[in-house]
Amino acid sequence: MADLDQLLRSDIAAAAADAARVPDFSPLERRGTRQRRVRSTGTAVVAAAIVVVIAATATQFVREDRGATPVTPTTPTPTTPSMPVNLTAEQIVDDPRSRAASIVIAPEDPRIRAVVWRLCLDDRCRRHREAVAVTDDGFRTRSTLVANAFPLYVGGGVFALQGRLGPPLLLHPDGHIVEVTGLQSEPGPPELPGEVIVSYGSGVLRWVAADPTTGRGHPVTVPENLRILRLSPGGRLAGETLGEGSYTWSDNSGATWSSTPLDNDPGLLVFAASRESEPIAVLEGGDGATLFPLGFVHRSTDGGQTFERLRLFDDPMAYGQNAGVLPDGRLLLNIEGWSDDEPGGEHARPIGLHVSNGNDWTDLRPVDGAAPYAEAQPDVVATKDGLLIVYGQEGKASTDGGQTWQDFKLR
Amino acid sequence: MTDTDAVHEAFEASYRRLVGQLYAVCGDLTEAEEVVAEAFARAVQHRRRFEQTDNPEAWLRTVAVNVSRTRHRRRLLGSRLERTEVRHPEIGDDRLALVTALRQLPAAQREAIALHYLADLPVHEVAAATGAPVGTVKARLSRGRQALALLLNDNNPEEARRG
Repeated sequence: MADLDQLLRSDIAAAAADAARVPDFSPLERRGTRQRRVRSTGTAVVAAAIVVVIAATATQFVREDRGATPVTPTTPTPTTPSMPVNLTAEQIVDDPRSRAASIVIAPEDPRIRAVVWRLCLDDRCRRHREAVAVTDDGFRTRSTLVANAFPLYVGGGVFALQGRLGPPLLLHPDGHIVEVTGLQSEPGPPELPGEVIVSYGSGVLRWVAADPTTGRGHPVTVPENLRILRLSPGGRLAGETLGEGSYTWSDNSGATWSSTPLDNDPGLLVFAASRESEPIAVLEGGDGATLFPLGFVHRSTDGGQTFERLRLFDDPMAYGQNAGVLPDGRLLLNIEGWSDDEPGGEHARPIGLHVSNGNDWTDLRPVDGAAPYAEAQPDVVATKDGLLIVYGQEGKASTDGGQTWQDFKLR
Repeated sequence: MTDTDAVHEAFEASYRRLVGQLYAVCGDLTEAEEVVAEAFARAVQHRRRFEQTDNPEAWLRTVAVNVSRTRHRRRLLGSRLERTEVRHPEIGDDRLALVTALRQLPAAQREAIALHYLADLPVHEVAAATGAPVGTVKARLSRGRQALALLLNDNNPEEARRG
């Protein structure tokens, strides 16, 4: 039996797509048209029935009113007010019921932020509306837009809107959107200073370097299997890849790339947030049995040239994925649960933010002061000022490793 | 350009890919084809809404996932939707075992695993397709992987002894 990770990374979906029998479109179109007609007719019938029922009920009330029996007042049944569907971006962002679905903060200037606010339209949130709030002054001012896409900070003060088809779009903090052009030319390295690198497409990603102001771009060559590019405060691009475990980076905006293989076995890798001046941490997801078991951490103190592999947890195993390196070199990570937690019961030991005992990253202890937010998952961002820990729903952030918390505006 | 062109264009561009993505959700290639076809029929039915969406493929994926849920529920209630013959693409025994194990997971975990790992969708797209918060999707992925590993080992005693 192949390893679970290998199986999950295999080409099952592609094989199914290849084997799919493609039906004629015309019968589907007719079916959809017929369903629309049936629905319209049904709606008309229901509306007519409602009119009849209302008329009958009204007649009945009239008759009762005419009788001598006094009517006992009844307590109205409380109902949930219906949620309007056509909401503006402002309404979605400002609704107190909306939740921060994604928080993106520019590493070089934490005042540049984009937050996706999600407002659920039913109890299980199967229907929801989303809007993006974006700012470059910490939400003293802002722009909002309804967008079925997630922003990703790509540098130059702009965000790429991810998760949509078509050409990539760049979102500026003043709310205007620039479409990237020039996607058909030959791939090459970035050509001009200030270009940002953006991925687009669903499934198979394509990469383009573009001028954030004009959107003028061109395809760009990146390391094979690159899935995510992370920008650090000093401008380093660090890439997470599928397949082989490695730390891949570029210090010249993608002109050239370096890569150091990591000795993982064959766990998944998640990059922790850190600045170039601090040790680099890459979390390794242990034995492949779960997504984010905090089995090992790979630490580099020479900018990614070499790594040492350290065991974090084994038995019991801790689970989590949000992590970063504090300015003093300590490892900070958020533990979401333990392997010996009772399902639906109390946690076997403390969860929430933990920090290493100095440079000994294998000795992790709970952070005092983070307890009020232990059940939530924080966003951990390396900024030019140090490590920023943000609890979006609570609107709180810490810049001292979770010791103290301040208000942090996200809309 | 007619009203249905947007749907037809999406059909040409996305039908196969969507079937590939829904195959592991459904555990049956024919079922995946039918739920994706139904998603396109509903795109025609709600063409104005479909044309206004920013991401047509994501819209279709969400509808297809919802259709698969509805059909699964009706099947549990004894509907005639039950299939006697399950169809799979040409994949090896290991992959087939994985798809079979996926069918034993709770629906929410199966959807998350299938869409994220096998269909290669980012977590936020899985969240959009399944109507769940990103954190919930991550939790489902974590628990689903754990359950999958156990299921696959249960079906393979030799691996279980080594594991």
